[in-house]
Amino acid sequence: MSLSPALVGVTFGQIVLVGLVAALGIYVFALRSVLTDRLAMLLLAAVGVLLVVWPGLSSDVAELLGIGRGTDLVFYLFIIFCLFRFVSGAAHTRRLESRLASVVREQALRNARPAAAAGSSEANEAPQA
Amino acid sequence: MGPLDQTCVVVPAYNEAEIIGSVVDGLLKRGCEVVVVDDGSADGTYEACLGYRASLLRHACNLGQGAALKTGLTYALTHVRPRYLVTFDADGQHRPEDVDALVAALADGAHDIALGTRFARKADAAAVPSGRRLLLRAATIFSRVSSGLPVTDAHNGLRAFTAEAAAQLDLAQSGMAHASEILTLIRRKKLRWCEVPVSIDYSEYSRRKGQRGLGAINILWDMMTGRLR
Repeated sequence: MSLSPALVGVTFGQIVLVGLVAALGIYVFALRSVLTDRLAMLLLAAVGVLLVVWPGLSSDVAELLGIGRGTDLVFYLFIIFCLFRFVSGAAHTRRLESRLASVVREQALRNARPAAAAGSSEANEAPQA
Repeated sequence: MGPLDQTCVVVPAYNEAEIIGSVVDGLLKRGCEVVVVDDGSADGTYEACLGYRASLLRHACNLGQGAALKTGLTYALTHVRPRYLVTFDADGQHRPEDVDALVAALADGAHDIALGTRFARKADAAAVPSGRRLLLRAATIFSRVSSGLPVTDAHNGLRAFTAEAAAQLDLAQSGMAHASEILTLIRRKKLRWCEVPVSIDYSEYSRRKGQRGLGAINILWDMMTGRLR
């Protein structure tokens, strides 16, 4: 029982999956926070548990969406999960890099050699006020 | 007292020990203040500058050109306190005399920012190697679309700012994407900008040190991930 819309060759499941990727894009660029990331992880873990205790579930949902086998559905969800993990990792690295830059900049500013100190010994590194 | 006496040139440098001395010397001879930011070089770039009457700062590790510019601009605004600030690449591709024209464009108070362009004069544009030209043209079109400013040259490291304008540019991009970021900030802060023709010297050295074409992918990547929350 496929819920294919009138569009030729496009199944309902394909629209749902592409929609999920688009939703992920909106999420990562507009809505994300560390808290919602962790909530999403918990939600995904819950889905995983459901799939284990109810083995037929993935096949039923896949059939409903017109995707075919349950394995395919789980595989697609896995890809979306990987994208999600990848993006939250990139954002995390980004935040760390910006903190690193602040620390390195602060240290560089403290140890600056003013132009007026040129030619004198390098030990004289006190920045002018 | 010309405007150059009230100008501070910020030179971000990464592994430019070979040439940084002559670049700094050329700038100092024009009578402006110079701030060199050694972005964690491993070749003695910092030491090569010690003999010159320039302010010297050193990043403990390599952060990227955008981060080095931010450090230099911050230092200049708080310690040197010039009227005009100029950004200038360390690899010898810019000409110190072009700084005069950039600052002169700000001196009458009509503009907050002057951007160097190598595509305003036929001779300057002709000097761009053909392989570079295509890449720069593509980068320029991309920058026009992403920033909304009708610029003619996108990744030219020679720019001049009034102190007030420089203080408003809070650069978040550590890498090369700062060039696009500056344009976006100009539009967002409604700064008055203009372009000034400058010459780029494509020496064997600067071509060797310059960005590779695939660096464009890194810039796109930084711009995308820079929006992550």
